[in-house]
Amino acid sequence: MRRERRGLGWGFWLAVAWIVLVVGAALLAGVLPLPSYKATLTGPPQAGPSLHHLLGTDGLGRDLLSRVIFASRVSLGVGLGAVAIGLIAGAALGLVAGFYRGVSGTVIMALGDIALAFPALVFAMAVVAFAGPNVRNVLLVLGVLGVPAWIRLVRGATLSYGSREFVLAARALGARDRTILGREIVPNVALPVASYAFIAMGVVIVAEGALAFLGLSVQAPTPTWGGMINEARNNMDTAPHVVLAPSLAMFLTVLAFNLVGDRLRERADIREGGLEPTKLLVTEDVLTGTSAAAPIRTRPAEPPLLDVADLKTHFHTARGTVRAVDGVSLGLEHGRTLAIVGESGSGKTMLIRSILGLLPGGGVTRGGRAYLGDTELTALDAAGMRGLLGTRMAAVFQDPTSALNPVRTIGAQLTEPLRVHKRLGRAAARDAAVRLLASVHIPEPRRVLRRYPHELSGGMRQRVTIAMALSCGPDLLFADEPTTSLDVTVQDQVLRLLDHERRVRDMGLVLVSHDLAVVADWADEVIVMYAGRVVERGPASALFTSPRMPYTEALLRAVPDITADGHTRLLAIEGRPPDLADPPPGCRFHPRCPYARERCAAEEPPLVSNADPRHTYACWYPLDDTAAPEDSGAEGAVEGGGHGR
Amino acid sequence: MAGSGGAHLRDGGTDDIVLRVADLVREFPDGRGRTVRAVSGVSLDVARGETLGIVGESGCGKSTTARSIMQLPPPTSGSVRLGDRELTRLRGEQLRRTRRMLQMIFQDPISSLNPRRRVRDIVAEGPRVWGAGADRVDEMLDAVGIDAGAAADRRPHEFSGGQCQRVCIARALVLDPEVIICDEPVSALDVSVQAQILNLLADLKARYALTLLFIAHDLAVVRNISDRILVMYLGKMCELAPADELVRTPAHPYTRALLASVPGRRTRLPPADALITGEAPSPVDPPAGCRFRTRCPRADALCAEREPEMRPLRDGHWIACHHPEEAG
Repeated sequence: MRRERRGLGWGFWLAVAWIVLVVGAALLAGVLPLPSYKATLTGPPQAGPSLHHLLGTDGLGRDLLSRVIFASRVSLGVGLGAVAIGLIAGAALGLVAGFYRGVSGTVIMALGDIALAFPALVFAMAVVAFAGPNVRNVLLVLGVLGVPAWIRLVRGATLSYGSREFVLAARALGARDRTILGREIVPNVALPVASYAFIAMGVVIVAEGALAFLGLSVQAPTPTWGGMINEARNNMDTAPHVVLAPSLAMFLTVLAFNLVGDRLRERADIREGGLEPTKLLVTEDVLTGTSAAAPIRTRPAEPPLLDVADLKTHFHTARGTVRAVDGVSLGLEHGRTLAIVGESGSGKTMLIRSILGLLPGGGVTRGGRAYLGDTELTALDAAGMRGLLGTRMAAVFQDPTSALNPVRTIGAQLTEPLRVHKRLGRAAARDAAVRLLASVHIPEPRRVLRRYPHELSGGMRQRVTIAMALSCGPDLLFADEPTTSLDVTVQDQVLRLLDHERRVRDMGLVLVSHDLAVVADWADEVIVMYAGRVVERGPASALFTSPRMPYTEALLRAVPDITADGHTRLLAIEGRPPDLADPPPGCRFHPRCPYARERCAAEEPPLVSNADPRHTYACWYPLDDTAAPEDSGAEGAVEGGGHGR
Repeated sequence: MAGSGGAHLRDGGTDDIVLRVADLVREFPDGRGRTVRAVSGVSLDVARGETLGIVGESGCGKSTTARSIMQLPPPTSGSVRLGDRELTRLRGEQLRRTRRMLQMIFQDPISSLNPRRRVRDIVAEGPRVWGAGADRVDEMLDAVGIDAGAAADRRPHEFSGGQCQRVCIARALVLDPEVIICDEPVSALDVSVQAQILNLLADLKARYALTLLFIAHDLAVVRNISDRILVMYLGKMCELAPADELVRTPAHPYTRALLASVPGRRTRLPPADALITGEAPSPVDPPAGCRFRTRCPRADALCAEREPEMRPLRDGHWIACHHPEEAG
């Protein structure tokens, strides 16, 4: 509870305090020891603040504080009444329109749209002028005018929740419509409604003020904020405080209502994910000295394409330091494929984001070194990285929909990097884009250039993002779960395409996936990550056929084998990856490891190798320790022989 | 397939058929005046205690089939029989009473749980609606591996995706339904969590003698849990066979292509004709004749002319194709 309050911020509580003060004063105006708001000449006219008159007096010598407080009764009363009318009528109609849709929904929305097209304030003035300026009429007209906006809000929220699976599930359970409305929909709609109620309060208070200023609200002697401003505006140069007092009261009240409404709306977007948000507290971006502590390696004369040494990426959060990447080293040559495998939360995505310099703004500490050829990536600033991204390094991400701009055509998005980085002319860039689309097997590339992303299927969109990544001929391509959101048949096509491009361009390819089986076919080398660390690495065939680390084995055997008998029990690793802010001591996998012994909880195992120096693993009690390493010569080609299946 | 027909439906003489769907059609307007033919004549049946898998690419109509069976919303035409009751003819209160015999588990476990309600209340909702079975709530939470104490006052966002899916399973089980329809229940989960959920479903199936309709796009997953598998393409049926037979001797070119796309172990599978390329056509304007012919390496004039009907290939192995792989 305390944490939630802190999340709302002091501005929210200040606003709440002001609202409580104003509402309290309005309620208690009758019993407060105030001079009468209508008694004239209780003091000298237009006098400044004094002990008797805390805010001074107005042109008729009436106490200003008393008048401001009594005027708040009108503003708040009209506000509350109008919001109540809007809420009751609008929420009922909005729920009906959103939940049942159909004819009644269409009619309600059509009427609402017509009502919204009226110039509301002019309409209000006309009605009040005709029906008579009193609280009831002002309240009614402002309330009714607010209804269409209420319908819109409630209908929108109802529609969005009504199509969620939990509503379908409630129907499947046999819940009646009214139960579904009451238990599933209304509680979710309530918070946006509460938020809008505060914002609507502000709107109504302003509208009432405008009417009162024009003399179309409650008549004298009852004071209103708008009316007081109107009366005092002629003497603004001699007695500004007479205008300022009601103005300020109205301004602060409206501001407070808006602020509370906005904060509540933010609360309405509650977290629905399973993990705590990492709220960044510290804003610094420093390279720590950890790399200096690590032994400085002598770099070979012909450096590899990608060389990462002891890379660390730590986030400083309210929960402590999250060690997303904790000392990872890897290397990759031209024309080779490296796969990085692990569950969600193993740090694999943060590893490549860290190499690409695409980390969230603040609270990050990066250590270790990463080289692209001769260039030290970890020493470059943002501008330096921008020069490399897209040209020498490029990336393809999981969700092609969010990687493409929905309001620009494929052609515009594909030709832009060509024109910026390669300085091609319009026609030349267009021809190059057509060739690129054709190379990723998109049929009718000229037509696709004119399309928008939503007009393409998921597989086609991913091909477009691959074409964009390849457009400037990068030396190194990162593909982060490039096929996870795609169908199996399309997944196969996309991986085939990436492999083909790697071969013909002699490019380095880094494939990131949670499914070892998916990438094993296409990778030369595989790195298995767990809790920010490398736990096993080696030639793909070796890892696939004879994994040493129990975690690798678990990842392999968790995937159903289509060639196994039906109803074969899967080897499921129970539990989840650890909280990276508080990883377990010793081997980080030991709490979930079926083979863990005492030593695993006490000491962290180093990466070691057995027969094949290229195959390393971090485990005190590796699997299959006695068996001869099989198939260590062949790389890339994966044989189907299963280990322990 | 890409065919229709109902010859493969069992007569119920030997099997205790719980759910029988015949010639199911579901069409809806696409908003631009055209008709989306999402499901065009699908027939299937599920025997008590059996798991029928439905597999196909996105857009093949497998999820629409599931929702049409649930009458959420009802199909455009066709028959859905649960036991001896015809669901498509039921309305209002009768439908509400009968539908609870069917339960559903969805793909996105987080969207399937009301974020504002406590987890235990979510599972207790069914018993609350029907005024019975409340004693099963804790038992079901325990059966799916959720601590009932922790569930009592926590909300869904405090649980991981895998735990939320367990809660959804408990909610589906608590009313002791005749059939549970699982619509891509593991495709949003990591491989390790996916294995946990698949094992859990297998355990629960054995413990409570569940009847499942299991829908997924991943053939390896469907094959692991199913007794029989129905392959769908663009709103039609392609092939229906016992799970082992479908994987060992696939006869439909589309099934063979799906198998060839399964990553990792392709060397031990029967060779495919040729990998299919491209993507499925739009269900707004499906090809005439066999709907798969535009991507099929074996398509000829006959396929464009006449739609293949489901016909028996071997005992229990049905196919809708003019040129199936006959060897087996």
